Amino acid sequence: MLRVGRVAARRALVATLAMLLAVPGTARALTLAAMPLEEMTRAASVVVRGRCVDRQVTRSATGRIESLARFEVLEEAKGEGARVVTVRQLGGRLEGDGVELVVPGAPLSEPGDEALLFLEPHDGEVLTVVGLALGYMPVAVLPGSGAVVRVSRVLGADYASGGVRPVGDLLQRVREIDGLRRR
Amino acid sequence: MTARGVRPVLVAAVLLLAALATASHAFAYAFLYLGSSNGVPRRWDLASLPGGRVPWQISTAVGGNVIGNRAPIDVLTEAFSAWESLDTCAIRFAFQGTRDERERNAFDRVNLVTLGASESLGTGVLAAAFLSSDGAGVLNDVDIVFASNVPYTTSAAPEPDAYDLQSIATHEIGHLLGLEHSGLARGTMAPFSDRGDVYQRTPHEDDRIGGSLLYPDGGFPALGGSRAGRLTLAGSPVFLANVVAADIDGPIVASAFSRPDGSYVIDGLPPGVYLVYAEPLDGPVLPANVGGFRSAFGATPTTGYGTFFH
Repeated sequence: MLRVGRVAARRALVATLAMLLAVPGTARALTLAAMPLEEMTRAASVVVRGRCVDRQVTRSATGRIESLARFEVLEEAKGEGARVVTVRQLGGRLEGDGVELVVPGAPLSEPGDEALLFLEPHDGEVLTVVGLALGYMPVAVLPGSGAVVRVSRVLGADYASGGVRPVGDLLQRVREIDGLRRR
Repeated sequence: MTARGVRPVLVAAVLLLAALATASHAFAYAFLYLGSSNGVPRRWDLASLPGGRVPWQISTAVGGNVIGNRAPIDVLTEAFSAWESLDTCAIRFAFQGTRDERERNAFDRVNLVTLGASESLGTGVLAAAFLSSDGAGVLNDVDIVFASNVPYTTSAAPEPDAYDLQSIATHEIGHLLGLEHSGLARGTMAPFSDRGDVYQRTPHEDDRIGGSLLYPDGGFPALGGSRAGRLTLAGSPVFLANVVAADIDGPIVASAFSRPDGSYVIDGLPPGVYLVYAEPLDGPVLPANVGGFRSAFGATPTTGYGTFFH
């Protein structure tokens, strides 16, 4: 192992940071949509903090493998007061067939998972996640911080530093955005 | 990019692989692991395919959202060729013509590219790759669906108001190989782009390393180096940290995600002197962008730490 001088290490660190930060501010995703929070809120008919109850994998007659995940609604920022929402998710494993389908960037929930969900209509009462992973923000509980979600700078200038934010703050911001839209 | 009051126990190191050569630019690579497999990557069994090539077809249906002066089939051919041209990667493809079908089907053993599917991928979603594998992780059907509600251009020159079909196709074909989204901001497998962007057309160094690890050729990875370690935070393992190897002169070379026990391995590193550091996936790429790790290892990503540099 080689010990590197402080100057060289600092030079590498600065260059690395510059490269990491060199991201277009209006980035769009290749497979996902990188939308600002305002746009995500507008696109969503339902925004909730939910806990996954179960997930069933289905196979359609046309050869699609999809999952239906049910979420208990713990808190709602936008919607019509449903206590449980059913969310279409892409992919899953068919136990009988041994076939597993995955879609990179499309989250699959497991029972007990908590997430902040931005949902839009899909089929009847079944909803789907806005922007795949972008509208699916896993909730973590940190000692001293409570329930938080990781936020991406693509959500807008208020989130440029990334990191984690309290779930309650995000939900409140969604209510404010939705309130302005309704006026 | 700063530690947030936590005791920095994340391991970082400067290492010497070989001081003779300078590393080229690269970013992060990752694999699409089989669910609950604890690290079995999905990939094609090339030996079982005719001529050792992955076949593909394209639907004749093309939506009105696709404009430009090149035929989509020519653009897709270019995108597939970009991966074939990697001298350390053995992946090869076989174009098998057009099809009238335009919808994905996980069971027909047709690797279909469709720009005219009727299904909605959801607001803002540009394209998606649907990968089917058996219980051992062997890929057997991959369909690529492009959204029909966003503007695409097939033109060779960048179009500022449209998404570059060749760039996004190259990215989706990377998934077809078995590559996950990368953890850093730029590169073909990075999940973010914008209208007019064309840089994803050519796989970058980390994309090359990832594809070459799945389908090694030309002596790879014997000629490269490897860095392994374990990340802990206050004695507990750190899962899904992005461990980055940067050339000592600045360019990021490669990275890997840490596993639930905190272990990480960065393979295929070209000779060079590296600074290694660990960072959380806290944007623009988030853990949800690489959800396959969550399902493959059945663990929750560690939170509550910041980037730590040695």
